[in-house]
Amino acid sequence: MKKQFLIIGVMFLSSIVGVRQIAMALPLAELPETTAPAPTGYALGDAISDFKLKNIDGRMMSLADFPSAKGFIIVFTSNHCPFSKSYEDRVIALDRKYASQGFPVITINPNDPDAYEEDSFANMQVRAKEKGYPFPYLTDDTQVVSKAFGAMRTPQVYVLKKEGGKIIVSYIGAIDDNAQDPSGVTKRYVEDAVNNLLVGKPVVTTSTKAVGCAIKWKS
Amino acid sequence: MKIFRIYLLFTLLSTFYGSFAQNNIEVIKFTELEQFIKAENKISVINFWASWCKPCVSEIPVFETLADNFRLTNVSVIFISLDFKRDLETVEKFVAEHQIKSKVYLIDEPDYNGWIDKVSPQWSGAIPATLISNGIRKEFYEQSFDYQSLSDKIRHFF
Repeated sequence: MKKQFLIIGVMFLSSIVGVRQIAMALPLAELPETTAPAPTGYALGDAISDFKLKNIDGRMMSLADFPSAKGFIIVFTSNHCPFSKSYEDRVIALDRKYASQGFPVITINPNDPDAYEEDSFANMQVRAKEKGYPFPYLTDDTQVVSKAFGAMRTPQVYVLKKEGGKIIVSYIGAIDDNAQDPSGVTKRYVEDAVNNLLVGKPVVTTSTKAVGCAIKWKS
Repeated sequence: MKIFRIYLLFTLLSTFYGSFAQNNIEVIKFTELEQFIKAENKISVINFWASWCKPCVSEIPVFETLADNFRLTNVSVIFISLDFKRDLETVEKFVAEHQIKSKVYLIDEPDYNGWIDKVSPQWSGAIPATLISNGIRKEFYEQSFDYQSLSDKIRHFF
């Protein structure tokens, strides 16, 4: 923090006394953040590989633990991200609505906790307890699963359906069209996708984009 | 010791220059952002950030220095905050505290899917992200910058 002030200080100085070269010559920032990997993860229609990740209760969990599920609502999310926080109640509502119909919500925290202490395993447990998460909240501490999916940010949803023994990606994107205000939502992308899958219809809007917090990859 | 003196000097100067810091942030819609992107006869460096985004915050000085060093060459730095509108006050405080001199706007367009593709189809939606535009040519980067790499990108436009 002090370093940043110093940098700003030097900038001020340089602008005042006109010695702009000082600012030019200084190492002005840390090395760039690790750039997000190219989105080479699962595409729509791909069959995904099952995974095994640690849940907040300490147990390892995989999709095979849900033999009667018709599909899954996988939400990459995190504690620290304001967009994730803003969507938290809506993710809980999704699980309450669809788990009983065969589409349980499974949340995965992909962030490197070294980048955001708030995203540590202990803090995940605290948050889940506070909000009474009805769904698993898994830590992807090696980030292998998040990379396999091609997740880029939190929150980001993958709706999966089981079909002929495979688990197929059927929707990738945002939860709905208003991150800030649930009452301003006009398009419920995830609900629409799951509703269609439940009645055997194809998903209409299969992918959307949304602003979120870039996943912090380990360097 | 030298560092400390610079720091002290900055603290003193900041009290004088504090009044230059911008406090009121204009809330804009996409159409206004589009005007910035389309502006010709200058190079607009449009940085998408948020006050809670650590990598965004750490690269702010890079953009500020760029604005200062290139101010005679028609380069303008514009910060577009993606903080929620309800957090406007937080952003205003942040901008005042960090003495950000470049123009800062908060974009109030919660249906991101309706506009981020128009900034760039390459944008996944993660921040920090930066668009460099001269109204005709646009280059988009979903990454953090250090000074060297950012100024190199700007030089493409000369």
